Amino acid sequence: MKLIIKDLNKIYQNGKIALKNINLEIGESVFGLIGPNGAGKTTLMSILTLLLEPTSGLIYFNDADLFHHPEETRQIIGYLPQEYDFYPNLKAYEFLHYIASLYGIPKIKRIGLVDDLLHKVDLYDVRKRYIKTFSGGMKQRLGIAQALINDSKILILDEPTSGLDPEERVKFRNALFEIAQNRILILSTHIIKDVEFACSDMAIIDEGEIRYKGPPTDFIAYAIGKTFEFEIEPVELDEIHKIFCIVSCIEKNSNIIVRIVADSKPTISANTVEPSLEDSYIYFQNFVVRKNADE
Amino acid sequence: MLMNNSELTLNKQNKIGNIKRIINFIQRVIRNIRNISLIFFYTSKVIFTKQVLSIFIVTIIYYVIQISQSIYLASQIFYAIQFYTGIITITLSMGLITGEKERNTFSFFLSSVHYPNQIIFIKLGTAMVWVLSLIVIQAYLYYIFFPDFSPLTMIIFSTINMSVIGITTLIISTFTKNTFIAGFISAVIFFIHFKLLPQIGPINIFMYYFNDEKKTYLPSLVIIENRIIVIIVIIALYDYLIRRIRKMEIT
Repeated sequence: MKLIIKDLNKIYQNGKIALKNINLEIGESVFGLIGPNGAGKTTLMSILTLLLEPTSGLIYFNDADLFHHPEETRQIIGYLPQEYDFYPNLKAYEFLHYIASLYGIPKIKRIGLVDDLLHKVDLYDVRKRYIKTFSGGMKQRLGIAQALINDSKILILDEPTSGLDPEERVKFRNALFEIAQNRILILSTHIIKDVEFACSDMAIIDEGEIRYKGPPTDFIAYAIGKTFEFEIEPVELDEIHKIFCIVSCIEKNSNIIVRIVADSKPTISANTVEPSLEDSYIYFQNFVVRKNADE
Repeated sequence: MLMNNSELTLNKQNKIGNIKRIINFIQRVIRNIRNISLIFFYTSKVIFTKQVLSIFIVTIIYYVIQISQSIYLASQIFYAIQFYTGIITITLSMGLITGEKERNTFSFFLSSVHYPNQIIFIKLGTAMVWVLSLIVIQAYLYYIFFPDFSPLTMIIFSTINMSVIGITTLIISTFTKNTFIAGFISAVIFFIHFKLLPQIGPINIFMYYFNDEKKTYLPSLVIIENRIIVIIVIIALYDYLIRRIRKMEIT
């Protein structure tokens, strides 16, 4: 199972270039698409779900052009939009039955399918509760269930964890792993931790262009030997901010432990630490991309 | 001519095959009816929000007061029915698209159906079934007071009129993200349409039919012609609506 995006471009009617020559090959697994707000992630997601027409370019799923077979494409794609609010006056199971009936799934199959999906996303016990009483995480899991209702081969989740509390985010990430079996799951996010813990392949998109494509483990290599931690006094923080690219600050006793990314060791007292995906992302955006742009 | 055994068997098999095909067809029809009923039931549940229900109740109260206090003539009741049903049509259809936009579910809804116009059929269809039920009830109540009048004519006239109002509301709602703005603009257009109704050429011909002094209540050719014009308008509006939905860029 393969999704191939070839030379994809999108220019809006107002002249804004949203996507520039996107080329991607996505296989069966959880694929993370990272990028800052306004990078073009949602535009790419909308094109993949046929909600938006590209200006040029092609998308193939197992050698079949998605845009030439829109009806079939809608049958294999499940989509969970960014920040949505499902029908508050429907109960969870009613909502799934509604979506299933829109897909034309017959009653005999529908009842079992809805129950299975509710079990899968851990919402079976609350199936008779109104959606308006659900927490953010529960709504997201219900959203996943609706996206899976047609047994979609490609599942597209646009910023699914934004607005979730840490516990809900972990629960959601764990659910993703099981859901991704035998399908392509594209996770668009600006939360790096989600990609670090859930994805086996990723791409970075910025200003409508793909800056990086490969496994997260390879991406982390960018910041090996470039991530440092050192202790400073609170009064020094403003000055450090001006000089270095800070990833995080943690208060320790009366001092602050600063984590930065830099090309060389900032001070003698600084310790080189093992980078996370977040460190690599900050390093990549601030050093590699900038360096390439200067060249 | 007598048939031999193999021909008889073949004939029998063909008959069985035909019966099976008919049974399959009936089963498919039943399945589709069940599915459509379910979609209708849930779409109605989605449409009838608290706000819609309150507007619905307020309009009914206003309507009953109007009818009981000041209307005695056939044409006045006819106007009241048009006005009341028009407001209900706008109330039911104003949130069909903007509601989805407000909840940010329009994109996922569009990707859940095979064709974009399916969503319009489902949503507008559900709203229109409710409107049609109201029209039928009103037409027969009208018939009780004015026995010379054909309820079927009222049903056809009102349904066509309300379809125009419903589709116009939906078109307006594709331009805005706010349900009440869509409802307000539609109401203004409806009010202008309602006030101008008797003065517009081809529509005036139909209004003549409801003149109290006129004793013949049989539809004439000009009335039918007028309805054909309105049906063409409906088809054109519907076509424009579908093209708008297709063109709508989500982001």
